[in-house]
Amino acid sequence: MTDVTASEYTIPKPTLMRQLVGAAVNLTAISNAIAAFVPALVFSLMFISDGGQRVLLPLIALIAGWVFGAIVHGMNSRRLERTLDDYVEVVERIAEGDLSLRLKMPALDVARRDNLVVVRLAGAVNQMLDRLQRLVTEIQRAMQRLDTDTQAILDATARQIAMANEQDAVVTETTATVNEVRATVTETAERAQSVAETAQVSVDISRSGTDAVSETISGMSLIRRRVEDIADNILVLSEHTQQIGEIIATVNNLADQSRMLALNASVEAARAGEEGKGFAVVAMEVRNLADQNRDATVQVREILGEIQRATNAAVMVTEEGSKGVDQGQMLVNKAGESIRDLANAIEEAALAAMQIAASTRQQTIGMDQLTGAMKTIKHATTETVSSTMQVEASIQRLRDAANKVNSLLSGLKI
Amino acid sequence: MGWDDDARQRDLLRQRAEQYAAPLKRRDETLADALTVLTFRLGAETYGVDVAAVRAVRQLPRVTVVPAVPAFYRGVVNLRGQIISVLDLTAFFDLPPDVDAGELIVVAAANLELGLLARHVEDVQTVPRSTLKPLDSIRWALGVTAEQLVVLDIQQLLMDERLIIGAAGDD
Repeated sequence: MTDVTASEYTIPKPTLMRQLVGAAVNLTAISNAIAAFVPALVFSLMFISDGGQRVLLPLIALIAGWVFGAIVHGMNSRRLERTLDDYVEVVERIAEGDLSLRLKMPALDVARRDNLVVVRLAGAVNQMLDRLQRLVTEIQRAMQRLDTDTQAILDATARQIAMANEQDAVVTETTATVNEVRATVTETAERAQSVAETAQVSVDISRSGTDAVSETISGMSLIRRRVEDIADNILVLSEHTQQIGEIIATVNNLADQSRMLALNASVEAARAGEEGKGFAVVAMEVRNLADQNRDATVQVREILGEIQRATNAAVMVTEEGSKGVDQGQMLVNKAGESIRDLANAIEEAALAAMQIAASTRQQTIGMDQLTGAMKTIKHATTETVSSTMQVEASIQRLRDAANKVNSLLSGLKI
Repeated sequence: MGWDDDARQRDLLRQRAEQYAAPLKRRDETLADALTVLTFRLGAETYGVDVAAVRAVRQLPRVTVVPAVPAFYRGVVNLRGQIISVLDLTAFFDLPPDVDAGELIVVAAANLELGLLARHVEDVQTVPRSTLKPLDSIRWALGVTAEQLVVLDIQQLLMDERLIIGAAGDD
């Protein structure tokens, strides 16, 4: 197409003009090519942050060259010439960065090829300018969004860092608390262990107490039997003393009779006079014996009375004793029951204390695991903070690049 | 009791030794006026009766009360088939009665046999007549010794007309 256009322009012109037109045709071709690549160039401008102005200026210079060619081409008509002069002025202002300007569509006869070219050129330039304007506007909007989004990301990372720091503090605090709890749990385990040991000792003691109580119970039964034996023996003794009393009465009676006989003998001896003297002595001896016998029986009777009183007292005492033994047996049985209950309770307490010791040991293990987990969390938090800070730096660099793009764009008037 | 007993036995032995040693001489000297008496206690007094009048000494058997007799007659007892009247001297002498009297001395004089109540018959002993202090007011007493032993005159006592029931004094 470019070749065809060039050959068409070359036919009617003189040598200088032909050269100019040839250059213009070439420029047109180049500018067309450039115009075809303008979107690509503008996109690359967006991503390459430097030299926007410098790329745009040669581009506009090319367009101006092309326009110049067209002016030369349309020299035949002064109106075409004036139009082209206007166009040059406008394009120069566009080159300075005012993208809001447009070429006026000329009131030219489009039947002529030259005029047609100029009109097409103006339309194309205006179209290009429209696209450029839209592009820059789009870029500006995108840059605004970029700014907002990166700002949001920066806010988010700042919050993340703050939260991570807070998390770190909380984890440190939790670790300290867990250590304290672990110390308490360890102490509890030790205490429970010592309680279990003490309870075991108590169980042994209560067992020996139970044994002692059973021994006491059997001892009480033995005492009871002994006391009953004593009571029986005392009853027998009492009966015997009664029998002795009867015997003593008999002896006393015999002594009285002996005395009477002796007195009679004495009387007879006295009546016998001299011949009875020897007999009187014998009779007196018999009487003395009888008196002594009587005295002895009196003493025996007194002793027997004492014995009887003593046996009565003993019977009463043994009765009280057996009552006391009954009560003692009852009390010992009660004590035995209490000690057995106590032993059971202590055994249960010992079991519970051992279970407490075991579970507190397990708790200690759990606390250790918790401490490990806290360490891991702390490490992860630290890493989160450092990577978030890296993200923050990257975003900052991104924003710097966007600022450069923005400053470039601000040079353009839309 | 042991020491007391020893002392008492020693005392007894001493008395006995004295008895064995002394009487022979005294009897030799006082045999003529010596009076052998059976001593007994009744009430607050100690009495003595001449052994010559004493028939027997024994414990008081069951006394059968006899109606319509003076109060000093306690009643009668059966001694080996022989009925003996029992005389209470405390009532006879108007003295307070002795409730503990449980022995009986059978005496005989003036064809009369009688039982005398006694609380305790003590001894046979020899009393010199010279030592007796006569009791003029009382007929049936020979006298009283220094030891307040009243020696009864059984002969006189048994002849007391009060003892004879149905005698002149009664009716």
